[in-house]
Amino acid sequence: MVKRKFNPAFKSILFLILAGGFLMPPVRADDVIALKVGTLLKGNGEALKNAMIIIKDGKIEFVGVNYPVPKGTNILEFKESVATPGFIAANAYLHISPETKEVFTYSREDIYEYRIEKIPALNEERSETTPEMNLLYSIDPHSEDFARAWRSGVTCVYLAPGNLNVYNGTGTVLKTWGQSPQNMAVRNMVQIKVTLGEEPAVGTGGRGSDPDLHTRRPQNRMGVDSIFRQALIDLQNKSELPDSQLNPQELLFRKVLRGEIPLRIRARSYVDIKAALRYGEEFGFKWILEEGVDAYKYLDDLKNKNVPVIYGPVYRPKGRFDFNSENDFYRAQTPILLAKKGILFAFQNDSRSPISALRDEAIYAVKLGLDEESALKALTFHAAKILGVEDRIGTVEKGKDADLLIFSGDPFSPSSRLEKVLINNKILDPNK
Amino acid sequence: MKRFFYPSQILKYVLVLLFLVPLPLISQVKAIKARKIYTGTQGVIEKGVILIENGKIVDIGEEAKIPWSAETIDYSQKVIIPGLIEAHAMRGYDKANEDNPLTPFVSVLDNYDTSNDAITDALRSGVTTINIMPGNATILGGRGAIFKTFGLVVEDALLVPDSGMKISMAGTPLQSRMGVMAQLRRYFNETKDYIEKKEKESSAPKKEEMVSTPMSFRSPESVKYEAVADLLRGRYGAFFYCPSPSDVVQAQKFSEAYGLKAVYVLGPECYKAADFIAEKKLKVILDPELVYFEKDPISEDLKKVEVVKVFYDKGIEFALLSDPEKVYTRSLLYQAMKAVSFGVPADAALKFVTIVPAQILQVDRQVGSLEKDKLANFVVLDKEPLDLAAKVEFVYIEGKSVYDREKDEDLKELTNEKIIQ
Amino acid sequence: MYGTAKMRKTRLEIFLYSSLVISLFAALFAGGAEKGEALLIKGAKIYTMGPQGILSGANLLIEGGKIKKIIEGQDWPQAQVVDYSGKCIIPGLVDAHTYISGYYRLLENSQVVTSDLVALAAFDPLSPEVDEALAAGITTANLCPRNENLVGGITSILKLSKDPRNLFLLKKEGFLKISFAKDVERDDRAPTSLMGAKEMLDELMKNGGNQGDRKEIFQERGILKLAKGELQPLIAASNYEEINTALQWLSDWKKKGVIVGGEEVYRFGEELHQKEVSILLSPFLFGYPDRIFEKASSLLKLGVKIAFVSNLPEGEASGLRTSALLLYHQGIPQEEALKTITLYPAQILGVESVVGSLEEGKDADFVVFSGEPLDLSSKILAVYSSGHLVSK
Repeated sequence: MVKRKFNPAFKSILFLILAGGFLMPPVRADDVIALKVGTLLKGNGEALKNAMIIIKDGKIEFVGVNYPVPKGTNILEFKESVATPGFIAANAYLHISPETKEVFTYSREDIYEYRIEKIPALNEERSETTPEMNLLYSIDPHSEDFARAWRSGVTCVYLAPGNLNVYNGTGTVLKTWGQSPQNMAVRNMVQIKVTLGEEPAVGTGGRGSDPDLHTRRPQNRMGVDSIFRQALIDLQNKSELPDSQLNPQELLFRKVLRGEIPLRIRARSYVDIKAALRYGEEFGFKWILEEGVDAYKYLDDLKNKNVPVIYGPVYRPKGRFDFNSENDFYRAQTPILLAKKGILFAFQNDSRSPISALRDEAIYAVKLGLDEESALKALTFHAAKILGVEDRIGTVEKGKDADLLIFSGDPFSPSSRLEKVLINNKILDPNK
Repeated sequence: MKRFFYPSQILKYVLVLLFLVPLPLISQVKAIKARKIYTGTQGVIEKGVILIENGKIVDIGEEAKIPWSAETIDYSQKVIIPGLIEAHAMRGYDKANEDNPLTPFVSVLDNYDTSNDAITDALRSGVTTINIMPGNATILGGRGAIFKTFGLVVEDALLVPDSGMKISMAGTPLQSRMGVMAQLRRYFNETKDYIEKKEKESSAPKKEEMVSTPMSFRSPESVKYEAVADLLRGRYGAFFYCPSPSDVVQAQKFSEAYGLKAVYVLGPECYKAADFIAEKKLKVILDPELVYFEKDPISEDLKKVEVVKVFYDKGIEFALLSDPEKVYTRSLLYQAMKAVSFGVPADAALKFVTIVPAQILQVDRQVGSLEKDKLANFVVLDKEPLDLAAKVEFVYIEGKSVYDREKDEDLKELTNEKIIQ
Repeated sequence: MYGTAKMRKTRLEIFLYSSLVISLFAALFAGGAEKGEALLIKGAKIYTMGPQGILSGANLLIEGGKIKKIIEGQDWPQAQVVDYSGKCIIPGLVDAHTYISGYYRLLENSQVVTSDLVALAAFDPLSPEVDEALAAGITTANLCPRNENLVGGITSILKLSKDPRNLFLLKKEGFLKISFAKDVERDDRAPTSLMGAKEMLDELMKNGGNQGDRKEIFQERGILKLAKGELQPLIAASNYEEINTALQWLSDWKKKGVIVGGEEVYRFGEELHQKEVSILLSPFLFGYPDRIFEKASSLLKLGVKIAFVSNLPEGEASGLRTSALLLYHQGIPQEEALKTITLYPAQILGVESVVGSLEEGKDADFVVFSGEPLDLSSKILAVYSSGHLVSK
């Protein structure tokens, strides 16, 4: 038998070709994440079984059943799992810095109880009208609450200055995981936060014995009303002036009147919600109702004026009443009533219910009768719509950010475990 | 002529019949039929029957024979589980603690409020037995008691008086552990002296004594020491509230030194003492917070510890608690569902809200599972117990229906279809 | 007759005036460096912090308060000789942020913006803090207004001296002190929050000195200088969000600046290098965990200019040396560690042509150690400022 002698040059070329096949990275396989899940709930009501999700550079490239995955791509399989978009808290009370001030306030209506309400977002108290305040640069992503948020499935939150002024400031929509607030921000200067009712009146009797910075209007709702309307009326009176002659604050109000920036009005009792509806008629601005404890009394009005509602907490321990409201139980029903009426709504947390319990709040609403599809929309798609960021987040669709949650089962069952959280192109383990 | 039936005989038969007729009505035997019965200790019975007489279970099983005189209640579409047991509750009264740090002589029997919302809520969520204890803000808080969650008069609702003495290792907010331990030791040592002294005294009652009732004592000294003396004598045990892991060790040493029966009510950080607890086989009740967040001092990252998982993996048996103040701990079944999410199998999760708390409270001969000779305390659900959609339809305590969802007006308002237009 | 008398009178006047002037000059320089008399420091190991590097057994020739020459082995005949053979010499320490001797006078509490105030006015050379600083080897200090005002005032860079007549200013107006620190946020006056502070500063920059009444215009003088580029900003910011705000503000207004802050500055690493921001760090403590020292060295390796400050009296004067020592023990070369308290702060303050290193033409400021400077067992034997022995 003739022993074929291989030319050494031929051998090395052959070796290189073979090695190259193994060593050379396949086209585009590195920066691609492929996920296979048992059920995908897209967030807009659609569900897909045995779905394949392809993610590239943090964006969703493909959602479907079959995809020609590049060779060498690592496919992560979660066979029995249910995937959903990351949850969005349409309003969040978080400690944005490890050293945020704790402000001692009391609710005037609830005169028997002093409450230390931790005001996690800052308040600029030099005046009641500070719409230009923005806290993007006051955020420290190392604050524990951000970790608690994403570990509970909340991948995006809306943060704004606190509630002590009439016009508090403009908000920021940002992801709960990332390097710096600039890098985590989805959109900044989103919606001007307004507080109606008695909250702005807290602490305006002055803080010391002498009149000081805080001795000013408002002392009650009349003052709040006058401050609110005055700012907009002033702008209406300046309607001949061009944009360049307005200061930043006035420019913001002009945009509100033009309908370019919505107001996010925090109104708890029915008196304040009615006032907000009146203002909306008077000035013609777009607005969103936040907190809305008594929203159930104005379902038709809210529907007719296309006012979305941000609602929470759903669960209130028995016996703890919110002032001015007749029935404790209507409030737990409110999400169901809103859903039935077709009003856009989303969930929020507040100082009484931690951000890590947002999912539990939604589960409670489901327990009371909210259908799971509406509950999921409120946590994802509709929340993104209300915040005006639905082009980037809220559903699992091509082109949007890959913010995903992987549950071991039905996301609305407390027995299901959150296995993985995908955010900002990172796969995180919420259970470590 | 010979009569076939003598009038006296007829009368006898008639009288006998008359007695038999109302028998089913006055019969104490109830038969409960169900699609599925979770017994708690003997597995699951499909299409089972529970026979109840005088408030106790006389028989249970697929083959249980229903006597003809029994009143049959058909829950053949429903699921039955044992009545849930809340092993440690600081609610159902006006105030949890006195302002004085050493008040072992007070008892919740005096301030327990049967109509308190907390109790109605407990019953509504399927709890049939609840251990009401004083709060965590005093060293010696007083004595607790175990109640049924139904009954207006305290004596009617009472299951076990003096379930235990509450001892808080945290003490009052201004104290350190040094002060707590010093005061505890001093008090217990003084009590030991008092017991010795009493034993030396003659047993004949003195003239000036009044007749004592369970709630009154003979002298200022006995007011001070009797309650702790009973603890040392072993009449009941101590419930140690331990917020931090070192408290568990201290409390265990203390109870060993004084020969106490002990139950440990843990804070969430006590997962760090899990090995010690497993080794000493301590009876523990977990904090309602099933997850503990901790900041790593080096990396400053937040670490998440699933406390339930830590204990379960070490084979420790524990009781789960609920906290109706928060949405994520609002009921025992919800906590059990959460435990499943941490890797505890469903049947074990149910155990931790039924038979294990019963054992910890030493009432497992009466409640905690559905077995012969135990009290007929059970919950009728329309679905599997660990299904979020399951509703508590009926609750039975000692064989009597004490809760009917259809008649719960408060709950109906919460979920009433009428409101939704 | 009139002419001669007048001439005599004039000559008399001239004579009187010139003698007055001469004696004045004499008096001025009486305690000063004997003009013409040179000082020769002999035989020490000199860490020059300059291009000559480390010199062993070198001699330092000082004349007129300046370093005339650094020579090895030679004698200089007319000079007064001080023998420091076997000892170590480093340049006098430069403390780039301190409230020395004027802690309670460096805060004008009545307004939140006091940008016209100059720190020099608060300096008290007879204060024991000056003794403490000189004894620790600090010869140059940047006296700064405090952190409680949004714009506290203008800093002054001066040479430390106990002689009230001999006060030498390197820069009367050094930097504009701005603060984003927690102390700025107060309950009883604006700003009450960090975001409010930023807004206020933006408004000041836009309108500062141009509007309002005369009093306001005067108070905003410093802001005007900053806007024109005559002053650089020195921003106090310790937390992550304060530093983030400071960096963003510098970016928005396209200014190069210096940040004086605490630990959290390490979270910014690369960004600082890109934005050419210098960092003044609070003193290191022995109790600090390792990660802080690691992060400081990582900043240096990235090329970010860092210097340690004392924040006297909030910190100790010896904190400068301790900080350099702790850094050295983290693996930073000794010379580099020493530069963080000598050359780098001088460069950051913009006075490196006069102080910060031992080179010909620079001020004769140096510290003499009994052994290696970053060895705790070494003691400071003498401190010289402009050629004079100021501490022993």
